[in-house]
Amino acid sequence: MFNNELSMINKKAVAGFVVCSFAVIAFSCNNQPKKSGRLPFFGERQGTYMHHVKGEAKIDTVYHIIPNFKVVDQDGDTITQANLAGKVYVADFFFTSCPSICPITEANMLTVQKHFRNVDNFKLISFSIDPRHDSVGRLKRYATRLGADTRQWYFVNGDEDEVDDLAQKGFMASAQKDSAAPGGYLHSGAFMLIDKDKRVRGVYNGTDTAEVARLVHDIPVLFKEYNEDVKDEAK
Amino acid sequence: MRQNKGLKAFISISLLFLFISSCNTLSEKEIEYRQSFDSGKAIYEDECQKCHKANGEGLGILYPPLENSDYLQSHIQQLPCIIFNGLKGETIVNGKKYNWEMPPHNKMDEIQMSAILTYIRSKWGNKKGTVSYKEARMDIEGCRK
Repeated sequence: MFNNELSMINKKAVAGFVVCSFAVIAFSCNNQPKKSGRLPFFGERQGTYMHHVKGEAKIDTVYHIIPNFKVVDQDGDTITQANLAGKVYVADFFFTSCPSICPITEANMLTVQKHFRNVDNFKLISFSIDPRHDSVGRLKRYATRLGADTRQWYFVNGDEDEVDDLAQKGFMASAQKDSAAPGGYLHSGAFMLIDKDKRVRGVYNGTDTAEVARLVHDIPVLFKEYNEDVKDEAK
Repeated sequence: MRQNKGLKAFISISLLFLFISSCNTLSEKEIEYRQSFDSGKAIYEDECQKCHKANGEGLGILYPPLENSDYLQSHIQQLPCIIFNGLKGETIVNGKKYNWEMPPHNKMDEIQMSAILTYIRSKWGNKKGTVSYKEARMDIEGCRK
């Protein structure tokens, strides 16, 4: 009788401990992006607004969005946000003569493209931060030699200050001139994942294979929000 | 009894000697080579791997391969100056045209140069062996413009 009671208490204690551990684990993992959940929003919140969904008032948050820009791609065509309307895309900042991390980041962008090369609503855009050197012709040669499919991936240049501003304030990647850095530029090598509503939904270290794998994982997750099933072709 | 002890001591000492000498099979030359190869590998990872990739496979027709590269095989003599001064203009590697400038690495000293040459020549250049500091110093002198 006494023994039985003790074992009951023990069982309860064990069960309680197990439940608590799960709770602790679940809670501590909570700030990791969920496998099938929504991706986070990056940047400062701009406020809230009220709108009506099926006759009911609903309050939503206004998130940071990518400002308008006007750049020129490898074929000399003007690229603005209009070219990316209704698209999920990955952006990065680079330059073609970069001896530091650019070869790694652009090779990794190429990997990302290989995974989603046939997805209509997916784009990639690489902004040159060295427009004086990276002419349209040079961008074209670079893209071709890299083996990029430029129907889906834009290599662009634009006004130096505008692109710098866009990198830092728009996409929140830090890209700025630094004479001490190899090649004269300092840049983060970050990849930004942008949703169809111009919001930043992921920032990844473009030089890190594990981070690039996380980006490849997140892209179909983001498409799910728009009820689109996207296949990872390289899987 | 006493003899037995003596024999034991003799056997122990000879075993110990055998053990030590068997550990010593790496010749000084081999140790030197391994050290040079390993420091060359570290330099490769810092300076070359970004473009030529970890296994020397290169990238697209931007950066040529070092692995199974006919160009490297036929330019082993020019390798020090290619590293030191970089390369501009068209090169044909395994039948493909490459034309993207390689930056110079002209801050390398003879120690670094000897290590990177040992590594690349041994791994992909079909020429195993340590490149001496002296040889590397002469190479650097010859590459200075």
